[in-house]
Amino acid sequence: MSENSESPERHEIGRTVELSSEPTEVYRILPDTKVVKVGGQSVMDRGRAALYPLVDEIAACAKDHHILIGAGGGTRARHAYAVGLDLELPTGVMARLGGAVPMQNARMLQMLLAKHGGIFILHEDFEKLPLYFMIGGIPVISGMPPHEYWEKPMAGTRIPQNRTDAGVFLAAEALGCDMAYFAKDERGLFTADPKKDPGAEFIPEITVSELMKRDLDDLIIERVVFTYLSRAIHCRAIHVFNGLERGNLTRALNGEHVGTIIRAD
Amino acid sequence: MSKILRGKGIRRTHMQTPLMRESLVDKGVLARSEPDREVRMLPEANIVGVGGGSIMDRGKAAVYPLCDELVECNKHHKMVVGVSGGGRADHTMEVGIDLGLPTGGLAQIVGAVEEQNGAMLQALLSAHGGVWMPRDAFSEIALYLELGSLPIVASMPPYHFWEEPPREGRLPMNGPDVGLYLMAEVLGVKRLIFVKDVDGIYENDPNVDPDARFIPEATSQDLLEGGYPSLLIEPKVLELMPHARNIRDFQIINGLTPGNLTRALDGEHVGTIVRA
Repeated sequence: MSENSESPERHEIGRTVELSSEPTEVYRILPDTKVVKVGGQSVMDRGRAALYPLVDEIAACAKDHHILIGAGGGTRARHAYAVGLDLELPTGVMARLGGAVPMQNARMLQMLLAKHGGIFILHEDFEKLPLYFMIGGIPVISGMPPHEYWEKPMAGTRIPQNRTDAGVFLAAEALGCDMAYFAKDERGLFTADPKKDPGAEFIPEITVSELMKRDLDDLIIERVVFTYLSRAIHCRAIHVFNGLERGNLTRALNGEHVGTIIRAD
Repeated sequence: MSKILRGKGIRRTHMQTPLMRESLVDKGVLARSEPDREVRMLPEANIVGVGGGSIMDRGKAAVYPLCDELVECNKHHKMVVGVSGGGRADHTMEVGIDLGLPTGGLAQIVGAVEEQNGAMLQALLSAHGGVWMPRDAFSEIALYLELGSLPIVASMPPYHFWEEPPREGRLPMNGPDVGLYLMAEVLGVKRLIFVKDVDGIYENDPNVDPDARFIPEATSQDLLEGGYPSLLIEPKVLELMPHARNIRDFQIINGLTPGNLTRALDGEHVGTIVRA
């Protein structure tokens, strides 16, 4: 064996690669895909009154766009986390538990979207996305990333930090999309949770560093997404909007600004 | 018992829990979610990571004696054997980077090399209970161990396309060391041992500087801040350690020295011990 291959360590690999190749531009795998998260607690748990109109709108939008739907978890995920915390289960087990609910929600969405081309897909099917789009399908995946038992412990909590917002964002980045879309039940980001604080102010656009400076107690998106956003190569913005308001999804996918846009610096 | 709170019309249907209606992003909610203890799923098991470049790529001279020792140790210890990629993983990265593949794309393809190394180990250990354990069988580890078999697993965490964007460069930050460490942590195993081809961590690369000082014991902080040229372990593991509940230390040993693995599994200090 050669001298150079005696390096099993990642940072060693990093050094080797750094030495032997100039950084090339990162290839965009499927950049026209619109990765859209459908919120769990914010949309799914509201049932038919929220979902039927949204499903109709997704079906209509899918005629003009390649849409990958990522499903959120919601109240049942919160229940599983609450029981899991009480049982003193490790973070990785919590992530495994949390993953089951978005899977249910993705299947529910698939049933509602089936006649419009809704296809339930697993993480393993990610490489078949071009096929689904080519046949006019609307793939629906659990928003949760596939980390499961390998979810990292973090300080202060055993609720997994990578949940469905993170999974949807990472999918968009991997595909080389410029933006990820989050359909929730609020207009976007506010200075506090508008459901609890009527004085909360709406923030139409903000950068990650401005957002970090504000150090808000509550956010509409998982915190880890901001870290990823600031490091991302292609997906440098997310658009969070009210998916309960008819027309917002259509406008957002057409490039209009309807909610809060959070940008990497 | 939990209660279902039916939401009329467009209102949300909730389940009554301490986290109901809460944003899991709220700092107050997060602060309340930390209990004192955590279940250890397999406190009697051990995880042994076999280096890809350091052991497997050396072929028979390194792998045969280590396999003999693994078989012997398996009579006294419950073990899961993880294996990493090595030279072919490096090559995969080289070509992938040249093609401009994104970090998630690199993470998606590099794991296949570990599966090859796993298949090699499994073939060699088959007569002694070596079985390849796919990730989907994770919840069956207890069964594998109870039977006295020697489960072999891929080390990389299964993040695939969902690998986080790295702090710098293009390479995935979560490699085989991170994966095995997380597996050890979630299972709450007794010992985590990384088997390499050097005695442990040195202040300088011993291949370059024969007088390099050996570091028998260090904290994750020492290593992160020490500016050592070769850490032997992915820095991400060292960053994770302070947050870990179960795995507060691991040992890096030289698997080319017969008896080291046996002694490390018995709790002896034969290499470098890294502590949170």
